[in-house]
Amino acid sequence: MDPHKLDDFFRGKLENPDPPPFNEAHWKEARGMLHPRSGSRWQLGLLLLGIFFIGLFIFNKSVVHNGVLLSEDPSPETISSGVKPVVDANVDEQRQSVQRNSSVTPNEIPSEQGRDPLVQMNDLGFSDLVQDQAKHRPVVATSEIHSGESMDRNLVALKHTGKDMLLESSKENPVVMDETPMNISQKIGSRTTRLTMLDGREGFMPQSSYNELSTNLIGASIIVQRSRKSRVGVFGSIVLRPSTGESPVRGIILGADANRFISPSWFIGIRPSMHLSFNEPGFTKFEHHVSYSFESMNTTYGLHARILQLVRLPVFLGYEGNRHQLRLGLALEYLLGARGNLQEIAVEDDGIRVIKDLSSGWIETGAMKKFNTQIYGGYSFAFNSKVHFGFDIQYRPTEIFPQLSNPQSLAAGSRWYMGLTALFNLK
Amino acid sequence: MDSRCFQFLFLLLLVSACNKVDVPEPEQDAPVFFSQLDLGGSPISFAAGQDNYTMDASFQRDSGVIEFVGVLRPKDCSIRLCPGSLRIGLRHTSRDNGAGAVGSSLRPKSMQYAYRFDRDSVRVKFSIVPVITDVAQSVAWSINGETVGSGHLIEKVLLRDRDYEVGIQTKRRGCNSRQIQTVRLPNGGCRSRIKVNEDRTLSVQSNGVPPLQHNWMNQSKDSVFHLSNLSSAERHNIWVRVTDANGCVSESEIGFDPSNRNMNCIADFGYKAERIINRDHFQLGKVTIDYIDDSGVIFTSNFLKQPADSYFEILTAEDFEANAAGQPTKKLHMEFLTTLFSEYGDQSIQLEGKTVFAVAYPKQ
Repeated sequence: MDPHKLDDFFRGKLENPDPPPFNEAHWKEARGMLHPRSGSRWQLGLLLLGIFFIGLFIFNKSVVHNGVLLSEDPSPETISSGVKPVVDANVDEQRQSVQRNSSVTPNEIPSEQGRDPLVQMNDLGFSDLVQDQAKHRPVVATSEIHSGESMDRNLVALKHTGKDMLLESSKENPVVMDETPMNISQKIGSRTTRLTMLDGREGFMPQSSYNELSTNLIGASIIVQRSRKSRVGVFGSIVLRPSTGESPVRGIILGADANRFISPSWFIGIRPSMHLSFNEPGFTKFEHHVSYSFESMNTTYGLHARILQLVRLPVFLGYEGNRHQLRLGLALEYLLGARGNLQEIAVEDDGIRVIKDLSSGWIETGAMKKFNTQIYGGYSFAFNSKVHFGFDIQYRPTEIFPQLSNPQSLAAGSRWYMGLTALFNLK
Repeated sequence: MDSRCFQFLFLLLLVSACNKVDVPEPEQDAPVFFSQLDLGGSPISFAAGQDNYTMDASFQRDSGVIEFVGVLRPKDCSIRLCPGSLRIGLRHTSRDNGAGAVGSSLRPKSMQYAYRFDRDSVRVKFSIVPVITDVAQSVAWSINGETVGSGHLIEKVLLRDRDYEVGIQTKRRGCNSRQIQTVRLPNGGCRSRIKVNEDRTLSVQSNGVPPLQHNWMNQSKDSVFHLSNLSSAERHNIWVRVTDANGCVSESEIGFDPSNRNMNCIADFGYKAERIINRDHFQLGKVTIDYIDDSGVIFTSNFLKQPADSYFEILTAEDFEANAAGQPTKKLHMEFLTTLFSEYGDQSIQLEGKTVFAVAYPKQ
């Protein structure tokens, strides 16, 4: 706060010879000048919320604009009803279409030369899969994919129910295919890729189409993960504290990640984790001793916490679109213990000077704040269905270290953390 | 989380719950070196480390004898004996300053105070005061009625706390005169001398405390003696005894010849007391205490010999850490009673109490 602002306020009041009656608004005004920080925390929270929703908006836009992957199905029933919406009336139509377009019998491998560049999807055995669908297996339909055509035109939407995906060439002509063919593909020549089903059946696809399909199927597999009601993984973070002049690496966080989707893109998550925070600059305790000899000797002891061992439980609301994920929530934090040094120090005008280290080990944490709450936010990018990379931002409004009267260097940047996070989904 | 995770957490909790390093508990530490004294009825106390006081432990050589010195003084004092300081010096018990002698010097024991002058006795120099220019042909001195000398100047050692009647009898050209003074060394005593006035009367000059009682030779109690009744054909001896308000007695007798003033005679003497110097230059095994008051006046025990009730006792002696100069030190617990004197002995004050001091000694 500008100190002159408060001075001006009081000066103005003093220059008025007739003190006005007590005005609650004036009192709030003065109090606001004296305690501006209380408001700043709300502003910080609002800022984080704003960043979150702006990011949300941008990612939504990017999904539509990019078009590589698929936009959200506007019909929530499709997701919630699982297989059923796919095996509705369109299935028969698809089956007929497959049969109309089928010019190669299943399991027949065409020659390279005699192959029409127009490769029909039923070559991949999709028609059989449609028949499997009729047996209430995950639905598979088929459609024509022309060599050299963009998959964007055909794959308008990709949805998944259970373990399978639905590839829609259009709203009117949904294409459903199992993800398994991509696992057993084989390139034939430079233009065609042979796809082999798990059950041994084979089909062919133009290479370019395959490439696009392959790219999209990675995203599709991610969506497969998302399509599940819950998701469990493990993660690790390297915690950075950007504002410190020393090494920015200030700790690691290891823990589990559990998400539960409440809609196709929104989910609630928790990340129970263990946080080891290194290079902490704060003192937890001071003790001043006066001993006597030929004269008095003043000795100041400081308990310097270097490593904090914390248990954290972030609870957050997440949004996932395309390969991007945003998270915002609160993290409960409990200080398990701290390692540090008992030091003989000198409290000087410009800070604390360490004279010597006396001992080290687990230190007494009674003076520290055990329970803390953090504002938690994060972003991650899915490299594939299993591996996510991103960063977390944490802000701790409260201070773990006690506010000691002595000047010390614990304040700068200690409330902000940023973590570079890698997450691996287990199932 | 499976059970192994819980076990891991439990172990972490266990590890973090034991062997906690903490700052030392605050202790009620007390000063090691201090003085708790009574100075003339007023308590005074100093402690090293409090009120900016420091314990200065050292040793020095005086007349070839090591003196182990401890000074409890303000820390920011640029001189060694500054206001508010207390100094205790313990002289070595031997001149060889041998290693073994340190132990005999700095151990629990009683010690005597060093002194420069005898307290009980003074050297007094008596001399004739020439009232008349002629020199007396014979002089006889007496103290308490005993003849002690016949010179114009005599020296005697007298006790300070006793009164002496010192008399002188002179003879000049057949004229006899005498004087007896009461010598009381602490305050001077009393002295009288007959004076011949122009109106043929005699009066008495006395330094006694009035009112004075006069007893003339003729039983007169007047302050004046009239000569008109005397025969002018012969010489007369006239004397008077004067007693002052304090009972101090002095006498004066003159020889008076009415026909020839030049044949008169009168005896008078003065004296000067000197302190008797202690001829023991080494003062082995003796102790000296100095106290400098807030105005900077130095009071010392090393002046007159201490009264009989004074004492100095080393109760305990133990090794202590080296001083800033790296010299080994002893921590001594002492009790004492002493009389301190100002520089010229015109002021004295009693100091009593106990101290814990440090003194240094040479490395063995």
